[in-house]
Amino acid sequence: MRASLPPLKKTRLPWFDEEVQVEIEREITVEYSVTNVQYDSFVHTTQRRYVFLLPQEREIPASQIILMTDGLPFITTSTNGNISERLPTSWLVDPTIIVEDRIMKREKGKEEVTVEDTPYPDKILETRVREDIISRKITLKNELGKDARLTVRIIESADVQMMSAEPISTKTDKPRYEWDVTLGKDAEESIQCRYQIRIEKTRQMDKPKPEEKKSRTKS
Amino acid sequence: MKIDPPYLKFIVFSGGGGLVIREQDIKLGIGENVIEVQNVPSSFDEDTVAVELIETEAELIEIVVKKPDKRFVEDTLSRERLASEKILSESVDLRTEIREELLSLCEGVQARRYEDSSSEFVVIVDSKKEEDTAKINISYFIGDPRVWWTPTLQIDLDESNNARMTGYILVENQTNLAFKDINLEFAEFEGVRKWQEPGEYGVQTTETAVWQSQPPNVPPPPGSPQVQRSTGMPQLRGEMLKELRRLKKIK
Repeated sequence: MRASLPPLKKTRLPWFDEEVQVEIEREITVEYSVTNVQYDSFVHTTQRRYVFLLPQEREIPASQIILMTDGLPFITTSTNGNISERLPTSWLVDPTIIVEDRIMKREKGKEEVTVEDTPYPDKILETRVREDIISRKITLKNELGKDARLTVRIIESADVQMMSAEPISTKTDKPRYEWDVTLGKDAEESIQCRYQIRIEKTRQMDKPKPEEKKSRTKS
Repeated sequence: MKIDPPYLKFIVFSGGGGLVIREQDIKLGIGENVIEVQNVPSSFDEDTVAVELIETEAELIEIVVKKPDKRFVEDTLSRERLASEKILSESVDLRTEIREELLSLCEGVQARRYEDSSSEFVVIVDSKKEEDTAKINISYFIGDPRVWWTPTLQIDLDESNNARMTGYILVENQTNLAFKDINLEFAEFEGVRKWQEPGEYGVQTTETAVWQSQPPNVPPPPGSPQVQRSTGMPQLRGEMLKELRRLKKIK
């Protein structure tokens, strides 16, 4: 394009102007650990991004984006550039989908205790292992004012394993479980899951002295 | 022969600077022809200079490049800055007709850097013909971070998941050079910035630039972030340790 660049000035040049299609992607990703899966309640944030489908292939580098409705700006975000005809924005926090994750039930398992010797003669290593079953419920509430589609993703870890889910996940690729949820206006949906968790606690302690042992047997 | 080839293309880099391509028709005489190219800023990178002679049998012999001495240019510039400050401080009433002109002039003087000064750029060509014509194509990189571009997208959304996307390119030219009605192109490119001597590449523009541009024995300006300070430090630290070891050996 032809233009003039005067000294000590900024020049804004029109680049392109075209109609594009928009898709809004919303997702919630939950990653449990042995600690947080036992929490009574847990807050998750819904993430949202806009994906623009370009009508023709065009190289758009990392750019700042100003989103407008009715001629007024409402969000300033950015993009890392397009991948073929898709131009996604960076992820934003979406306050319109409220997520509640609460514990429903806890079934305690039997604790197994094992004792091992350590390199120190007066110390022992005690390991306590227990396998519990935890039931949790994720409730999604739509406060957008219109229908919303989103993906709920739960990622299990080595010590937190998914046993069952209601409804069954739409896509399973262990350790990732995905649900495609469509929420109507002001609607609520929930996902109930059961997890098996392995709680392992190891501690080094003093070896009981023979006298203590004897006194214990006497008593 | 002095020539000032017009800009055929200026490819601006997102990381600063750009590639300049200039072209002009010239007339050559038999034997050695000395062509002095004018209006080449000192921010040009002499390693990237390329000269091509088109539509001629004349041969390129050599390209001679000389950048002005930074100390002298900086000295002149600092005197000009002082003079402009003096003009402003001694002007009792600036509400005159020339106010805007005067302020813009002083602003220009204050912003002028070594990179804005002109360099010597001579091309020597050997021609076999008595009267020959040729097209000379000159290209070089401008390693000046004060010229760069950034894109902005403005998207107007509607209820039916359609949008109007308008893309803009913001080109910043914080140099004292004017590029008039030229063919602009834009590239995503981060030029390699070498350690520069005082006066080169926008010295006073950022704290980092000031620190990088100073000789190693000058402490960094107060308040410079630690990360930025470290840019020139490893070399200095190594030299100091070497010196310390040498002194210990003497003892």
